[in-house]
Amino acid sequence: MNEVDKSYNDLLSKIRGIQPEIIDSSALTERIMKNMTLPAPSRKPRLLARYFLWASSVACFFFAVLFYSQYSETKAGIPQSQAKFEPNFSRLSQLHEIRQDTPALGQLNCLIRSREQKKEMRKALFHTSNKE
Amino acid sequence: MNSIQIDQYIKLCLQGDTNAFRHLLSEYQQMVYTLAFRMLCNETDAEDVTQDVFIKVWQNIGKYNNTYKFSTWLYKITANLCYDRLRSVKNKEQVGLSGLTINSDTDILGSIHNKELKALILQTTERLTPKQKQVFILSDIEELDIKEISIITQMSPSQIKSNLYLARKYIKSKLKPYE
Repeated sequence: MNEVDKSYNDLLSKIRGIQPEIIDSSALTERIMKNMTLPAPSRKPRLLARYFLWASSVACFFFAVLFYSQYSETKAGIPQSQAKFEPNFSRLSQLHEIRQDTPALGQLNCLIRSREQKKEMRKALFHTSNKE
Repeated sequence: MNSIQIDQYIKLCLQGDTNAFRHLLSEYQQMVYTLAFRMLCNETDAEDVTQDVFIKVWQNIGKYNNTYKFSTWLYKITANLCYDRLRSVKNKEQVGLSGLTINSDTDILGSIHNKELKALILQTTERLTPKQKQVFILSDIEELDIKEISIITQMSPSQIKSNLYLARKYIKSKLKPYE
């Protein structure tokens, strides 16, 4: 055993040898006996608080989503819900005109995207029909 | 007090007998206080922890598993409470030779034994983490075996050994200059 180990063991035996004293042992005993008879804190309020916290956080999230969707609709100008389901009458009437001109175009109108495309398609169809 | 007597007192405590609890208290108060003092190095804190331990024992005596020793259960509660306290003190950066004791009011009331012990432990375990200090005190001062320490601290034997190795290494490094 080297010197460090020896002094380490001496230190341990020194610490073990000293028994800490309670300043007033009987007072501590009485204090414990007095406090232990007090009722234990109930878990019920804590559980209720936890449930309330959960419920309020879920409600907050729900309202945040609702608010965000409303906000984005108003920012766009047209409410999204209406824009989705309300038919675009101007576009429908245009398509109807095209359909009246050429029935073949009416079948293709779902593929037509822009005004220029429409014109090109109409020209092409007129050419082919004239040739025929 | 043997294990049969302890079991009898525990049964009486379960029926709400405070006198039986008083017997247990007088038997184990010093043991709990000693461990608390060795870990916290402060009379007031050690007394508070002792009180908290016995209140917990009274409130949870129905949960005591008699396959383990009653003293192990007490050690477990005490060590956990002290560990929590050490951690909270460390978080507040009050730990250290200057912060904990020397100028405290309780130091005036403490006996010479307490002062000597306090100085010794604080000097040797000054920079140990709460975990290392806990393992060092339970293993080398209280002389408990690894299995019991594992039950008390809920650490694996390998964790205990590594913490103990680091604690011993630090303390021995502090002892070197005094060779």
